Amino acid sequence: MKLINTIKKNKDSPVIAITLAILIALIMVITTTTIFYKSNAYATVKQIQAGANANPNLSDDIDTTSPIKATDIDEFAQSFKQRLRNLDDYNDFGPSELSNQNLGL
Amino acid sequence: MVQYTKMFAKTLLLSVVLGLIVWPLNVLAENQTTNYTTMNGEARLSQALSSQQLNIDDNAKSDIVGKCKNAQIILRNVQLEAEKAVRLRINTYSSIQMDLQSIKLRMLRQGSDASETDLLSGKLQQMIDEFTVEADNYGTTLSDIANVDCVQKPELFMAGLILARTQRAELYKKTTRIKNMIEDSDSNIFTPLKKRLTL
Repeated sequence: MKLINTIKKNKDSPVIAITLAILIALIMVITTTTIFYKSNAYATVKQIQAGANANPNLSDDIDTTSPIKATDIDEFAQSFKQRLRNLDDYNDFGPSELSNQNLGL
Repeated sequence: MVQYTKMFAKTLLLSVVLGLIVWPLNVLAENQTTNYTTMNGEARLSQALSSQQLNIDDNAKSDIVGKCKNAQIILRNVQLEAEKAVRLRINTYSSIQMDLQSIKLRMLRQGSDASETDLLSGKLQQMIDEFTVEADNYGTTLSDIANVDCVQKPELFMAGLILARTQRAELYKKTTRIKNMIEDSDSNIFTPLKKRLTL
């Protein structure tokens, strides 16, 4: 009641106008934030955060301090290639597993 | 009192107008969120069927109906094997990423520039992400066709199988690309790093 009387007394006051503008802005912010939280964009943001946090101790598991030489780079390069060559891509993702013959169709 | 009522009415009108502007945006956001993974299996297979515009004649349908139950048993095994293969690859790619990180940090400690590792790591991560998304879709499709009522809906079963074959071929392409990228990275990645360490 006191508030209403204050507003009535100061109906032309810029303070009231500014307060009203702030109130409307707050409503808009709350509305758009609610829409964002309900949308898939927020789910994607959470997914990205989860992915970034998936290996929080990455540096803890690897050697980050010992000196490195050119020969070490060679060894790493060969090791990478060998690890990938050990994967049988054709067997794992080739067409035969889903062929009509394999499925008995 | 009249002035207050007018002010209140204006505020209310403004809120309603804002709501009317914002409400379609909310609907738009929710429409865009109805993506592949939130649909159920039959809906996904129906989407595949309509995009393939598949027509199966009655002979083919009765052939599928007679054999699809056995095929679904085999598909469940294919799905398990695919999951293992995907997990193995993701672990392998992650181990390579960790070693690239190790190279970078060790070189930085020695005051050597290791920016090529960031380049390779970034490209690799992008490919890993694409592979992971495709693998997820492939696994979902296999699950859908293994569980659909193929006797009642043989066309959904066939559409799903065609989709799975496409996705599997795409997975093969992606794993081959990763392999080729590492195989071809000597001249632009590892050689510059080695040169810096021998100076």
